[in-house]
Amino acid sequence: MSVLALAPEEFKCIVDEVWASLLVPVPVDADQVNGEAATFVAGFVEIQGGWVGRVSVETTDRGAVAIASQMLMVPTDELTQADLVDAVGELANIVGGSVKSCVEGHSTLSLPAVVPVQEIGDHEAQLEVVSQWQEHPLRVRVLAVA
Amino acid sequence: MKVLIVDDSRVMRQIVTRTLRQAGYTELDLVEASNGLEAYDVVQKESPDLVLCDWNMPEMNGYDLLKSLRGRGHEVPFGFVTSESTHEMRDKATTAGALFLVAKPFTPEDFKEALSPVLG
Repeated sequence: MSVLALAPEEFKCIVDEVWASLLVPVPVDADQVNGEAATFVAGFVEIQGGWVGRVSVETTDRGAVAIASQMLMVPTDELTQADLVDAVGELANIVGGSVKSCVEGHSTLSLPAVVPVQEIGDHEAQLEVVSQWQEHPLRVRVLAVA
Repeated sequence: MKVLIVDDSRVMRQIVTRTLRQAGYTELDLVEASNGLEAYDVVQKESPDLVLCDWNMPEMNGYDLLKSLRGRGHEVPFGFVTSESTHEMRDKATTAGALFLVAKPFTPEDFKEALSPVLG
């Protein structure tokens, strides 16, 4: 039986490293997720092996626009929906790849998908990091799929 | 020199391009592909000096691309730039003929260290 060998502080280091390399200014820690829940999108990847779960990166739709604009260096009015999906999904892919390396035994990582956050499923959050980037909320979660 | 960047994410291809410049590789001729199948054709047509390739992609993943190239006698220098970097994958990559595996997220210094044996 494989397990996820990842402590909360290690998960936060993974997330902080991703933020530091990809977003300027670097997101800051936040105590709670701010923003209209109905506007949240989740990019996620699924890990399949002895441990099964999802790693999701969540923000508002406005946050997704701002992230895509910065990552692609394209003005917001020139972005397509595909760009938003690509940017948020790639963030989930990068964090998910690091989380997968902490799963003992063989496992696989899915391609990323992006959905409204309420469609990601009612799974237990094993780990969570909440941040704020400019005025945009960011939440990264490791969700165990029973 | 010509470098082929293979990733299904346009965002990541853009970031790889930017990081190459930040690593000092400002004179490269860059070509792109969004999966392994497309990349295989680009290698035939463009004869790149280096392939920088994601691992996990639709259509054909990076590992299968590398095996296809080597299986048909293509010895183009090949490195992975991927979110996954387990010992298992590094061993598979090396055995299949990859020169390096750079894990995302990466820095210009990571690129310089991995690419300098090929690009100088």
